[in-house]
Amino acid sequence: MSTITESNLKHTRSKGIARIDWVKVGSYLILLVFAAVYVGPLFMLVNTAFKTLPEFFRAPTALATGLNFQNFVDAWRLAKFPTYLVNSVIYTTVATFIYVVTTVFVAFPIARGYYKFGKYILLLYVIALFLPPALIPQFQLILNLGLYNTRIGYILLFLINPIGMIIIVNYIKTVPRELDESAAMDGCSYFRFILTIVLPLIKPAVATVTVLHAIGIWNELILPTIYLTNDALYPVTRGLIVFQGVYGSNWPALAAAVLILMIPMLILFMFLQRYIIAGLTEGAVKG
Amino acid sequence: MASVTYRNVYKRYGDVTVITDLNMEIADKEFVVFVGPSGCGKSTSLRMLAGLEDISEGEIFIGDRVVNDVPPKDRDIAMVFQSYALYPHMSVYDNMAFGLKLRKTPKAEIDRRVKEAATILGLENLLDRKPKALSGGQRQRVAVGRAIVREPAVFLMDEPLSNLDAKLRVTARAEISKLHQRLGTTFIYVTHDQVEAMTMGDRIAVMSDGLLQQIDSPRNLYNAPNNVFVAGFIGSPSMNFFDAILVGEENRLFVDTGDFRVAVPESRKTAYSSHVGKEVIFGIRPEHVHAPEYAPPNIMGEPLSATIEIVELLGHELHLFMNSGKFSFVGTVDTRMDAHAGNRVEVLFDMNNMHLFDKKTELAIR
Ligand SMILES: Nc1ncnc2c1ncn2[C@@H]1O[C@H](COP(=O)(O)OP(=O)(O)O)[C@@H](O)[C@H]1O
Ligand SMILES: [Mg+2]
Repeated sequence: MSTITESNLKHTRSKGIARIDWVKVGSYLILLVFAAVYVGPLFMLVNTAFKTLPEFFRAPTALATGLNFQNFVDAWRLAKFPTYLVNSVIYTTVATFIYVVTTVFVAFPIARGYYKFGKYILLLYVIALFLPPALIPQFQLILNLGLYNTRIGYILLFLINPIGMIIIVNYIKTVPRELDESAAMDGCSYFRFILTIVLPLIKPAVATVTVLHAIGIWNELILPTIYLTNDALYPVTRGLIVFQGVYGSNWPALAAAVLILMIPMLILFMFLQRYIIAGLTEGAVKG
Repeated sequence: MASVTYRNVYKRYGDVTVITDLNMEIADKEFVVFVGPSGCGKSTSLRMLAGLEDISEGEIFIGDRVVNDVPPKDRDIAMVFQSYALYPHMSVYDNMAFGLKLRKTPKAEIDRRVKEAATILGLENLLDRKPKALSGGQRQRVAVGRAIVREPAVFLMDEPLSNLDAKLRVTARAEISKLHQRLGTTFIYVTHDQVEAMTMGDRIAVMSDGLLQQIDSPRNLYNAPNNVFVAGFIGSPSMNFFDAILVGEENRLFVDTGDFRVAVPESRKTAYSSHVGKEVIFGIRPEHVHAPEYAPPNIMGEPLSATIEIVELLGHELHLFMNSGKFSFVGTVDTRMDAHAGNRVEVLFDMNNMHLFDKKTELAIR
């Protein structure tokens, strides 16, 4: 008994030394390169945020010598975070909420074929996905509606997004139609049905679309520059422009501001990611 | 509690008519089964009654009320779906309570009804579970429970057992029959399985191609099918059919298939007299084919010879697949018969249980 174990042991040990799994090594190397490509800039951002301005100009890529939190304080003040943050939060939550809710209510009958021309409506959304942004007509529209440089006008810009519609329509198709019928016989109204049955069952799609859409609005820089001229209405992103100077930019403060800017969306994502991941895995198992 | 009436009901999808002139009266407390091959329109008939499909033409009554334009929730019906249609994110309790909550039933009343239904169905310990954590049989019972708590006037069930395995199906079948006796409510049950239909229904509506072929008690359907379709659909193995000529000779009637000639009982003579000399379809059920040595004593056994092609012993039954020349037929004979494939044997047809149909109309001759 013991001799057998011993020889076995020797055998495995010699095998372990002799064999190097080159495929594994290769794939780890590739992964490492990818990680560097993704994490590198992020690391540079954090690194820069902790440098003083002179330190940055001396050696932009060198490691920060200490944790200099002054940049965050400056960024908070210079980029007018307290005011702009409120604006950003208003735009993002209001527009995302309206967008997601209206999208679900519109997507459901399209997914079910309860609209006569639902298929074609969806097709329009798909086509819209491939069209370039219609900046000029959109601008004219907002201007003529008298909504230029207003909160409502700005929010209006974010109430349509074809990709979210397509995701939700397709996800609703996984909800069995018998549930509609069963609920109808139970006496469930359309609104109640969407809110108590459909929404909980399409949480993964809703979470995904919410995150995508909210991040899009939160990080938007071009549209506020075009549609908002009143300083009091700026979102945070617009505030970051102050760091762009004629005689050189305050990169460390900008980096700090960007980091602050990221935090709310990071929290949102962490909050919703369990639904997103649940949705991804559920789809795989359900079959 | 209510009766259900279909009056000249049609269902069309575009140019395609899937239900043609359906007329049916279902009495209060009756258990009626819609049966027929897949695609014959059973579900559509049921769903029109439920309000899930529009009625293209005609009227459907629940009690004395025309329900054509009444929304499903106001028809006082509950339905069990083939897929059960349980809400996946709700517990068993909430699934059963949902419809009552929407109707603003008092909480205590909801609780009482859900608990009672759970007791009837043996779901007491599963009330907190989500449907995902239940077996197929348990899910099926939750679906039934959800209908029970509503205390509807009419229960509708669309193939509720077809997702269960064969063994469970037999017990569930009996449970649903018991439930019907206990609740004393009108039940309408859809199935494609004629055994389910025969064992459960007070009456059975046999459908084919969107047409109601016959509605009658299981016994009458078996003994006196209206036409060739019903005769072939009810019973297992199916009835044997032979193209034949009805021959009158010396004041007696015979069925002549070309392969064999068998005498018709005296008692049928007047009924069949109009078809003498005409083409008919002669039908005999496998269980009315006997081995001569084991035939029951007082049958009218008409002999013929046939070659055995296949022998299937099921234990309690012996199925012989035979050939008389032009025609193949099946006999369910006494298991003691010494039968071997290839043998030429003599068998008896019990002519008191014969069926005769018009060749053209395929209707029973009576
Ligand atoms: N939405 C529909 N559009 C067109 N034809 C349909 C539709 N629903 C059902 N049918 C047709 O109606 C017929 C009856 O269907 P159904 O009532 O479901 O049959 P069963 O339940 O008896 O199997 C079938 O031929 C089916 O193809
Ligand atoms: Mg069906």
